Amino acid sequence: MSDYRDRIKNLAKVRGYMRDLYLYGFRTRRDFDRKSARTYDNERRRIEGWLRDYIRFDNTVKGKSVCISLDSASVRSNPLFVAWKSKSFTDNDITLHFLLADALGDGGALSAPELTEALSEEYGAVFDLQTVRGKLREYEREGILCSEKEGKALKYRLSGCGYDALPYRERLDDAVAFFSQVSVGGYIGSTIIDNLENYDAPFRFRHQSIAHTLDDGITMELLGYIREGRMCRIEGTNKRTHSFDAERLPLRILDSVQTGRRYIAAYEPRVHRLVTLRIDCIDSVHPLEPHPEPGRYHAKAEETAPKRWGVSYSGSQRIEQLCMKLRIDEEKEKFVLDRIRREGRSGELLRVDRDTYLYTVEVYDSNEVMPWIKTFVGRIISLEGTNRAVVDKFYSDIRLMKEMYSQEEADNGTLL
Amino acid sequence: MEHFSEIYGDSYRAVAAVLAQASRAPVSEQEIAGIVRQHTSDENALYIVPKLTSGDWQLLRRNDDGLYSSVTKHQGNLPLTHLQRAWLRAMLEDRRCAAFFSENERGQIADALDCAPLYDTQRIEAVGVSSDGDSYDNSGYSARLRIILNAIRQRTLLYIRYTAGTGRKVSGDFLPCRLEYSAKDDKLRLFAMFIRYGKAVFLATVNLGRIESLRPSREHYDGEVDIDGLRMQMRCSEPAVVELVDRRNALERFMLQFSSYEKRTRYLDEEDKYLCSIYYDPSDEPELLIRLLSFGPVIKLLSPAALVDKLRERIARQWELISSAETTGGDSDRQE
Repeated sequence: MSDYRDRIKNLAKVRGYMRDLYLYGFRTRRDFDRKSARTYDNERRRIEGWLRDYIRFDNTVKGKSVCISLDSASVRSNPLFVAWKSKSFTDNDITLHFLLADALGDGGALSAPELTEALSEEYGAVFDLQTVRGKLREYEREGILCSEKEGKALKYRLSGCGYDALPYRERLDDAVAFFSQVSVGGYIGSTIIDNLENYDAPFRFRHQSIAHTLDDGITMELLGYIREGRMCRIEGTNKRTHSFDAERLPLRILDSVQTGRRYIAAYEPRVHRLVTLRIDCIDSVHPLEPHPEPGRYHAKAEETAPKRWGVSYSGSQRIEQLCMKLRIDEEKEKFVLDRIRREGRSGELLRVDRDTYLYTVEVYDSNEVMPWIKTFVGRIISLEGTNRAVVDKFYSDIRLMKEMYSQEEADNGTLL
Repeated sequence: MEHFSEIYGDSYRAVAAVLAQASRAPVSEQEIAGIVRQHTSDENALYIVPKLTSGDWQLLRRNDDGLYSSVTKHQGNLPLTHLQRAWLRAMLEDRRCAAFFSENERGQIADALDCAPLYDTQRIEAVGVSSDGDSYDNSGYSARLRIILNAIRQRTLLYIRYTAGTGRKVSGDFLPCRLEYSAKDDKLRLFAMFIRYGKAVFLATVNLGRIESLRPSREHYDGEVDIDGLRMQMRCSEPAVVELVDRRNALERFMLQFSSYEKRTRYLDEEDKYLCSIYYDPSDEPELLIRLLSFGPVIKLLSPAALVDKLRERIARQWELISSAETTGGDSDRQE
């Protein structure tokens, strides 16, 4: 463990462990067998250190399990952002960061040799010119510094765009606090909030999938290629530990607020189809050539959206229909009717007669609708649909649930 | 633009805080350690503090009295990076941003940022969002949001008139405490303490979209409201305990769907099942119930008994409906 450091060079390794400890949290050391036990020990130790307030332990017969346990509605900022804020650095990096900013803090412009000299004379910090020049170039790329030619010398100054100078600052703080928790790349906004003194964010967030931040790097890369209309090679491993590697034209990010999953919808030329891939399963994305006509597939994705219940294009253009007849007390259960109108997406709700309603929806994949249909258990008079297997499964599920929860079976009822 | 950079890290933030303090007045090693630990992990603090005090980083000067002063002369934050500016620019494109700024104001901020958005927000589609989300671009809505945010900041009371979920009209003096956003409902709701005769009466939850009017209140309330403590007290005394088997990918689906709840999961080796305890707010019980129902027979709710009874009652009612439909031939096609 002598080479262990709390800081990391990249997010790839810790991303998977952090997700596992947060989503599942029951696995023990020996369950993490895809990498070495030492890797597990190091990553667990890091996560325990970073998230000490949210770490819980459990001792099982298989060993100690560690979980990240928190109610996301009770925290003002996503605790998993910490992974983004744990990059390793060298002694030179941190010293130059503060001293260069200070040397240029009065608004003046200095060249690399002048700054090198100033660091030595004013701060007693001796650096070679090349090191200083490298850091200046890096900070110019990042936008912290800007440069201008003065005669033959290239002079650097702090860039003019400070957060404090932006208009509507008070409201901007609130907006940044809000969007840092709900937007892609929210950790970037949180780095702005981090620097505000005595700011108490007034927001909390329900139904928040905080683990998405672990995939924000991939998501933002894909969004970049979507903007460029660029084909890319997407590599990853799906849930059955099958690796995939295919060339695709990314089209849009689908963020399912019901399932907590985030997908990339893409066109795959090899199979001439629109496909979706879970972003948490993607390990890397490699840019290829720009696609000659990305607009055509954006239009196709747009056109097919109304028949998509969730994220599935289902591979065929055949539309499946699902009809659910419901018993709803019109006087006392208006809230159920409101919920259907609110959540029923492209479906239609018709009043058949008093207290009887018919909800009909046409989608690519009626199987995707079933979890929502089951939320009306207790009110469904009948369910019919063009996909018989889906309808039959609903009825057999009800039978199984009835057996599972019947009073007689309560003590020994079995799961599916 | 580097997305994963030490510039944004908690180590730099911890050191910046030490330098700010040590610029105002010399600090002891103990004080340095305390400041650093407020910003980063204990393990990282063990690395940072000796680096600062030993002079390795050449950022602190040790005085004769053993205290440390900063070598830096200037205070204040660094300029925004390209990445931060581009993210802010993307934020302005989000439809919900209309609740915070008018179109003209967003234009002014965009001009000051002077960059392209980090990504196109219209290429991100939220799937499964309630269709009756808040009207962020409604001028009345954004005006009310601003008044509420101001009242939270300044701890001032508001006289609010709104329609409750039941349809009842409610009005009174409230101390706005917190706003809560639901990604699923696409709505903001306000937690506000109802104040009467200078006393805190109850914590109300008001959907912003249901507020009809608000104005400054003449009531006063000097007490503290521990909103986190109150919400913690409101949490269930007994968690919902769910047993699940990993069929139809149930384990992963369940863990993802319930990821926002505080929960503990155990694997029961001998039975090859999982036991998950979910800690919930009783006011969310109807939602929890239907979410559990959506999983069908791959999960079984074990406790609390009152919730199990409600679930059992729904299933029994469903069985009756199906049985009577079969008896009357209402589902004859399925019987073929």
